[in-house]
Parts: sequence; structure tokens; C-alpha cells
Amino acid sequence: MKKLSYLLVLLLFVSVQTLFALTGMDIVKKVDAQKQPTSSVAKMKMTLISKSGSQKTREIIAYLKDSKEGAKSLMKFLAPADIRSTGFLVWEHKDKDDDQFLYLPALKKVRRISSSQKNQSFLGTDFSYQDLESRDINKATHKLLKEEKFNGDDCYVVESTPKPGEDYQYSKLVEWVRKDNFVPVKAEMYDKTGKVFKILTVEKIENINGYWIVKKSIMENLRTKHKTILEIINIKINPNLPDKYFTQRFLEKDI
Amino acid sequence: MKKIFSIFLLLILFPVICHSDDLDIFSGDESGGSKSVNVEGKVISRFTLDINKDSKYEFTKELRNKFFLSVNGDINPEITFKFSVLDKYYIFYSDYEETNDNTLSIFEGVVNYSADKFDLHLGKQSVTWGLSDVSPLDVVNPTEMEEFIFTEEEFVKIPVLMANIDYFISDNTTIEGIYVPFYVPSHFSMLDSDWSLMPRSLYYSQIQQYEDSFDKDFSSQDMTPYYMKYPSDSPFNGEIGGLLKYYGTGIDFQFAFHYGWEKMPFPEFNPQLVEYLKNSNSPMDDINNLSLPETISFSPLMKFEPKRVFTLGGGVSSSFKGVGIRSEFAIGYKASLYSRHLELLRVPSLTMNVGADYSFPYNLYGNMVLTMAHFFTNEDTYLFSKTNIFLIAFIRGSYMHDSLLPQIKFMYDFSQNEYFVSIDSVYSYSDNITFDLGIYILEGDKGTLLYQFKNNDNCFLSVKYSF
Repeated sequence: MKKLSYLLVLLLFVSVQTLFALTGMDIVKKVDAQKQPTSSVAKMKMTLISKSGSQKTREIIAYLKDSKEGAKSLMKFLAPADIRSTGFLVWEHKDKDDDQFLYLPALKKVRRISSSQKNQSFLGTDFSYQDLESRDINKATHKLLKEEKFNGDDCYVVESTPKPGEDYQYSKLVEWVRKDNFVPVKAEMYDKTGKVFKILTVEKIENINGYWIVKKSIMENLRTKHKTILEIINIKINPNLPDKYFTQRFLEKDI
Repeated sequence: MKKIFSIFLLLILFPVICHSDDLDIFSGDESGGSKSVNVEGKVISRFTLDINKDSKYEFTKELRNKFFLSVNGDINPEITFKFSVLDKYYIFYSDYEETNDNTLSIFEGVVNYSADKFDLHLGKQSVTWGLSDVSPLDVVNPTEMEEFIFTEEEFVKIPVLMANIDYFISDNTTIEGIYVPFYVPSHFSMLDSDWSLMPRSLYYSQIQQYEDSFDKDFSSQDMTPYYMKYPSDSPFNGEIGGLLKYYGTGIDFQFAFHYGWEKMPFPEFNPQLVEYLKNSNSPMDDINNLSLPETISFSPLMKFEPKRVFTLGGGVSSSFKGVGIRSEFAIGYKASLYSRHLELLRVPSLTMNVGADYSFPYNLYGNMVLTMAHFFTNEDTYLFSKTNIFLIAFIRGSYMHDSLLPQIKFMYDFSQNEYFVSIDSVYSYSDNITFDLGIYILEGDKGTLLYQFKNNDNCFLSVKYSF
């Protein structure tokens, strides 16, 4: 897994490293090179909270697997009832556009998602489709801005700016990376005008079987004052997931 | 036979349905998604107000309620099932009458067996073929047309008894085969609703004449507007089809064949009536203006007898520079259409389409499908042109985190100059409750289907509760 799966900023698996003077690129590489499982299955809960405080919930189950061609992931919605069994399948590729498929159970139809939809909200959450994809660290320049504490932990603050010509929804990304385990614990996403408009904050991390796992995080949209809380309710590390789980066959299965 | 099957299915599934366990996705195998039973459902209530009033018989207000209950689960890791019922309770109001209709039916009832290389699905089910959003390959299931184009998308297809097998050649390639033993037509109204295929005025003009002429001793048998003659429940009257599916890196393909029946049989007019209309410039108007004795002399005016149709085609989908692209073709042998004098013609047809979708800034999503359907005939045709080109498109916004989804949808038939436009907005009040408020406008040149419905412009409010 050369790339860092961005939703799975939430599922980061990190080992402690010794540090010397590091550049922004060094830090991002260390984040990217963390010990990661070859597969996982996680049940997650997304709570969407509006500006007025009203809440909606989404429950999903996510299957992930590394492969030679790139990571593969399959997500199925468990709740609410109206979108239950809706599925989202992603095949990541190292040197070309990813393949993304959406399964709509009401229509019993698998649809290829065009890349123009990647900037759109993922089913109403504050995450976009592109947030769910891997991020190729070589497509951006990375600069260490400063070192500071965040929630009591010593962190590096790294700014990542897409290289010219790269198609990325954010003009830049600023991440707070913990020094002890290289887990990003906060990220600010900037819009094209250079204003921060989304903030991802990690609330809870656990070490399971030697992997650091982000159990709870919050994505907040500063424009709309809307936020999405993402919690991992249950997780299995390195289960045996056959490749067939990441195909249309499984995408279409009822949950 | 169909009823026996339904009862049999109910008896098998009832003990399973009653044995409901809590959902624990991590108690089963590592697929994590399995559970014993899941029960879900929805209640949809849609109120429609007609904008243009064209006669006292027209239903100016309609309340269409649907109650849907679905149970699915697994008996063991290899065998799963899905069972659902749909109850429709409709109330119609016109100046002439208030009427209601209630139908309860088993919507789906299917048992799935999953092996290493194949999945087998047996029972009442639906399948979706084709990659395009308006696919000429999606011909297996009949469709719900009683509400014309207003049926909720999950109820547009009518599940039918079917044996369906998916054989997985590889992770990317699947061959699907289907066998449908019994004929089921699409649901449509012929004469007695505002969305009837034939002008409703015909129905009422005949009824009026019939009522006025009781003294003349006509019996109801004398006036038979139409009759149905569907294929018998013989296994040789079944339908078969096959679909090859490939979902690959950057591109998807499908190829399909289907040997089946017309789901929406074209009415075949009485040969004497066709002869009578030979010199007519406006045959449908002439039918509307038939006197009662003429109607009786031409009875039955028409018969519905579905014909065999063979469909062969393929499609591709991909994306280029952020634009999703889909294209399909289908050859039909033989398709039905009318001559100028309402004689039923059976001719080969070719349908092709190309579609694209794109997500624009400001949370706007656009989708369009341009379709061309050509009939190979030298005759002058009625209702459809020899070459029909129509565009279906919609633009949808997504605001308040998908809580508000305004949408403009339209269809324009370039060949016949008919169109419809709908503007609506779906608002999700909560996880379970959504509202849909909108308006439909239909228009067309004389002699077209949408001309017939042009007085049915309506606004509507729909409420859906899911659980």
C-alpha cells in the first residue's frame, strides 16, 4: 500500500519511529509508509449533524484489501433503511484513474461513477468521494510549517499543496501529525480561494494488534456548520478476504 | 400455478421470517455482512392535483398510497432469501365519481443459492440489464405503467417468476442466464383511467351512448372495446435470455440476447375497422367519434395478443475527462407499430443511444440520454415515426447535505414534437421521512401519446416513511 487511503486516515496503522530533523516530505512519507494491514473489515457509524443540531445516521460496513495493482475497498450501507444495501466499490490504481462503482438496490443497477463526481459529497456526509480515495503523496509538495501540541500530543504541522496540473479538490491541506506514531490527528482542507473550509479532527485512537486505529473522527464543514462524526464500532484486522469480495458480485449482494 | 407457487413460498419462508435474530455482522464469517433476518419497509402516500380539467370524468384528484414490507436474510451462508409484499390503495376523485382500488400482492419472493462459481436465484424477482440509464436491453421484466411515468423507481419493474443463474467466469466477467416460465404483461390501463393508452373520451362517449340507449335493448356483450389473449402457461411459452457482463479497468461491456414476448402488447384493431379507416386522415379521432351501432359492428374494437420478440444488443460504459459515457444498441425482431390506418405492422427495429453524465460545480449533476429508434418499413406509420429521436435529461442539485434535492427532468421527442417537463424537489426531513413536491407538464402535437395526456398536467406532494 504505497498510497494512503484517505478515508482510512481513519484506519491508520503506525509503528513508532526514531526521528531526526525531518522535512515535510519526510514526514508525509513516514505517514505513508506506516505498517498497515493487508486487509480489514470495519463496521462504522456516521452521524451527520446539521447547523441546527438535528442528526441523521448512516451505518456502513467497509472491506479493504491491498493488492499488487492497488488497494480495493467495498462499502455497504446498513442504515438508514432507505439506502440499505447501497454499495460503493473502489479499485485504486497507481498510475491511472481509479475505478468507482455505485450499486443502487432500488434499481438493482451497478453504475460506474465518473471522476467528475469525486468532488461531490459522499451520500450526504461531509466526506467527498475523493476523500475516500487514496492520495498519492508524489502529486503534492509538502512543507513542514511548525511543530506544536494538539490535544496534548506533540505534532508536526505539514502543509501539502497539489503540484500544478494535478486535479485535486483542495487548494492545500494542512495536517497535524503526531510525532510519536505518525498518525495525522487533524487536517484542514482549503478551498480554491485559499480559505479553510473543512476540518478533520481525530478524537480517539487505539492500538490494536500493533496497528494504530483511529476509532473516532469528526469532519466539519465550516461554511455550512455541518459535521460528520465517523466512529468505528467494530473492526477485524487482516481477515482473509478473497478477491471476489471486491467485485460486482459482492457489490450487488443484499446486506 | 402462480398462486400455488406463492403460497408454497410463503409456507417455506414463514418459519424463517418468524425466527428473527439480532443483526451482528461480526458473528458470522469474515464477509461480516451476513445476518439471519432483516425486516424493512416503507409507506408512500402521493397526492396529485390535476391542473387542467378537460371533462367531468377526469380524475382531478388522486391519492395513491403504497405499503411495502420486505424481509431478507440467510438460512445458511449459501442460501439467502428475499420476500416482499406490496399493498396499493388508491383513491380517485372526479366530478362524476369517487372511486378507490386496493390491491395486495407478493412483490418479490426469491431464494438465492451461492456457490463458488455461480449464484442461482429462483422465484419472483427482477433483473436489470444494460449499462445505459434508459436501456433498450432491459427487457426481461414487465413494467408498471398504470401511473404512466409517475411510479416510484423501485416499483417500476414488476418482478416475475424466473430462474436466474450468474456464472462467474472471472472476477470481472459474468454470464447471466434467465428463464421466465410464465407470461406477465406490463401493467397499463387501456381505457378507464386518465393515463389510458386509448383516449378516455372514447370510453365515456361509448358509455354515454350505451346509457342513453338502454331502451334499444343493447346488451353489454354487444359492445366489447377490447379483449386480451395472452400466451398460455405452457413451459414452451417461456422466455429465455443471456447476458455477458464485463466490468474492467476503465471500461465496462455488456452483450445480451432475449427471446421473449412483448410486455406491452400493441392492440390489434378489428380488420373491418382498419378497412373503415383506410381513407381517414385522423383515425384516432374517427374512432373516438364512432357511434354506438358502429362500435358494436366493429366489436371487439381491438385485441391484445402479445407477439414474440427477439432482442440482441450490447453496450459500453466508461468515463473520459470526468464525463461518464454510456452507449448501447439493440436490434429488435420483430417490433410492432401502426400503419397510417392503424394496421398492426411487424418490422425489424434498431435502437441506439448515447448517454453522458457530469457533476458540475455548485453541487449540480446532469445526466442525458439521446436515443434513436428506427423501424425498417416502407409504410406510413402512426403514433411512431419510422425514425424516432428523443432526448431524456435531468439536472439535479444537492443541497443541505443531500437533504434537499431539487430536480428538473425533461423528455423531448424530436420526431413527433412531444415532450414532458417535471420540476420537483425532494426534502429529507429525517432519516426516515422524505417529502417530494413537484409539477408535471405534458404536451405534444396531435396524434402523439403526450397530446393525449396534455390535459393531465398535475402537481403532486409525496410523503415517504421508511423503516
